[in-house]
Amino acid sequence: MEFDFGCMEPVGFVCSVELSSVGLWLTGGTGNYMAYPVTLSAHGLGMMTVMGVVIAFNMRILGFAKDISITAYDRLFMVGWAGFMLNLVSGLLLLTGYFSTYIFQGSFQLKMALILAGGILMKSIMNGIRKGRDEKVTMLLSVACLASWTGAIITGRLMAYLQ
Amino acid sequence: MEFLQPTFDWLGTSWLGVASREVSWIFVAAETVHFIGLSLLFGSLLVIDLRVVGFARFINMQAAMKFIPVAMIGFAINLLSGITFIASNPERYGPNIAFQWKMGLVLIAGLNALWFWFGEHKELSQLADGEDAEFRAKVIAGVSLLIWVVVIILGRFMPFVE
Repeated sequence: MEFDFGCMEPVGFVCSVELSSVGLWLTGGTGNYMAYPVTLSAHGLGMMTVMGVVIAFNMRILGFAKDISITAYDRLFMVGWAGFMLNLVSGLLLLTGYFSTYIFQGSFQLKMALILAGGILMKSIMNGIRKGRDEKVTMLLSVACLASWTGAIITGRLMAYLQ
Repeated sequence: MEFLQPTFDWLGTSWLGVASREVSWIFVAAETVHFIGLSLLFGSLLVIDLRVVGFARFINMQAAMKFIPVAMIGFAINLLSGITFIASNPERYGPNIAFQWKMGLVLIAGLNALWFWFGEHKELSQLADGEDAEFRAKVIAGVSLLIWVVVIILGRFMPFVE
């Protein structure tokens, strides 16, 4: 495994983040070469958990397995939140280590926007169910929600290929 | 996994292998599809297995079983995209220790799923909302979740143990 410095000297805020102790720990600068793969694995696991819950919930909203009551998904949401927190922490660590690469990357920026949109749509769907909103509107939001999270996965993958 | 290497090599010389090396977006697209397939599979298993272990026991069991075909679709997507990875670079995967463990665990997960289907499926379908499953069924569901968590982690580890 190679020791990967994004910045060679602290020329400003962007590089100082990358060269912080956390940033160096992640990229192997402290001699710990397992930090990056372990963090990346945690990010993958968190993402599968979030995406899995998002898919299962929205499939229900779209009419699949209608015998499951929406309230029965509460426990699944707890698991989804745990996955999201794992993603948030591991994502922040990855961002710290490769700050100068990611922060200016279009696919990263789009990924963040899609995650934000996906989160707002999930909240909006839940609010709509509680308030008894028109089912067709909720279904439309559900399709948009699935599209947002799928887009987040696609842009996340593209981050490895696009600069 | 030496016994599979001839098959991997054959995949590498097939049209899929040639295409995945010559058309740059095929590998990236297969990776994305692999993630989505795994999300379908893992999401379905979260519904079924968390219901069976009792963590989400108010999920209707019969309705939860409807996610089994979704999990199978997710698995089929992953199998096809996974074959594309091997075809693109047959020398890379066979000797990879994380890949070997991953495939071993996927095989065990498959056997576990067969046990679930033939041994527990009928009885579980009779469960009322909130009713606890038998301990044996809980073990099968717990093992299923654990295996897939490790499979996801091993998949991410593969590039780092080459």
